[in-house]
Amino acid sequence: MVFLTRHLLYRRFYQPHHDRSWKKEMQNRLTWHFYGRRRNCYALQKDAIRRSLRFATVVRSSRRRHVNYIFSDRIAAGCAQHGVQYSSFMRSLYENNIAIDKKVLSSLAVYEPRTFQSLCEFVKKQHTEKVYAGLAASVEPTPSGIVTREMVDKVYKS
Amino acid sequence: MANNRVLQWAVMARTWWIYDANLQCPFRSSERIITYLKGKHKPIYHPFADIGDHVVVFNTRHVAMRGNFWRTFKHFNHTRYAGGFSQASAWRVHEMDPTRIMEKACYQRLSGLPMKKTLMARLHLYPDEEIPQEILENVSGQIRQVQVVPKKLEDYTEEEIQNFPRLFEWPENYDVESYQRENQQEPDQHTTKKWRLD
Repeated sequence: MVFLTRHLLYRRFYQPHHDRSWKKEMQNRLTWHFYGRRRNCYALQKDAIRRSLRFATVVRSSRRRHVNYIFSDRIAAGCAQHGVQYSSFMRSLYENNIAIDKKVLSSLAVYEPRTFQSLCEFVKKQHTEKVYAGLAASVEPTPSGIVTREMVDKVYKS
Repeated sequence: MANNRVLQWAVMARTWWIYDANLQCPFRSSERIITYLKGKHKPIYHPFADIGDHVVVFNTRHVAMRGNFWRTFKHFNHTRYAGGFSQASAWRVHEMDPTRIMEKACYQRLSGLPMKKTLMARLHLYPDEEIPQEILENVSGQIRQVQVVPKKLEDYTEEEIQNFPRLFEWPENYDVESYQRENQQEPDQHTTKKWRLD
């Protein structure tokens, strides 16, 4: 905490219930986003904080997953504006060693649409180059349940 | 650039889209429509953010259902009073209200969202091609149809039908008509109640 004057600092030690004032400080930090009197009243804050911390424990594991879904949705929306599919976009970036994670890609889609557009153009160009090189089969996914001799050889050699 | 300040407004603005439901599957169409209602086509998408667009759907009277769905697909209702359950086949609901099939398909796909009533208020359904002028003048974009509109048998001329290549000709005495199923209106089972819309 920052105290602008010495008077404001010493006020915390010489007021009635001065110990509790620090606890109040901590509770206010946890309830800034609550609605109504549970946000400001000390007595009402206590139960609300216990409840919210309990939820925080439960949600901790699933929150990252949900945030990741939102990143995917945003990237997919950005791709769709330039006529690229999300899955082919991400795969092409991976194959070309463009190591940008989903968080950054989604923020690029929102705040730097021209940068994101250039990435999409890159993906499209990669795709057309592959098609011209006769590697269209590598762009298409392999049908499931089919094992060729080449695939077996590749596994043995590696 | 002088307009840098307002470049984002096109993203934030509530744009209006139009969708022609003529001979389209209502279920697959609704999937595409709700992405625009929810704003999932914008990179600023967030499930709790109110950034969805308006969608105007017309020709809902002419939606096409797959297979036997007009008979087998049921719409359910419960008045929450004892014995208040009723159900009706899709064709029966469609006769009562030609926009109901599309509306219900969209509403069911928005399940689980706290804002679904708000989003449904932005869906404008019209049974035929007549759309009010005050709605139509807002529209600035078109949503792509989910399937190619097929050409009906009655659209072909008699000459084209005759000239269509055939593998074989039916014999003169071969009976085709009596094997065809009668187009009967099947009663709705499990309920004696009359179907009610609300």
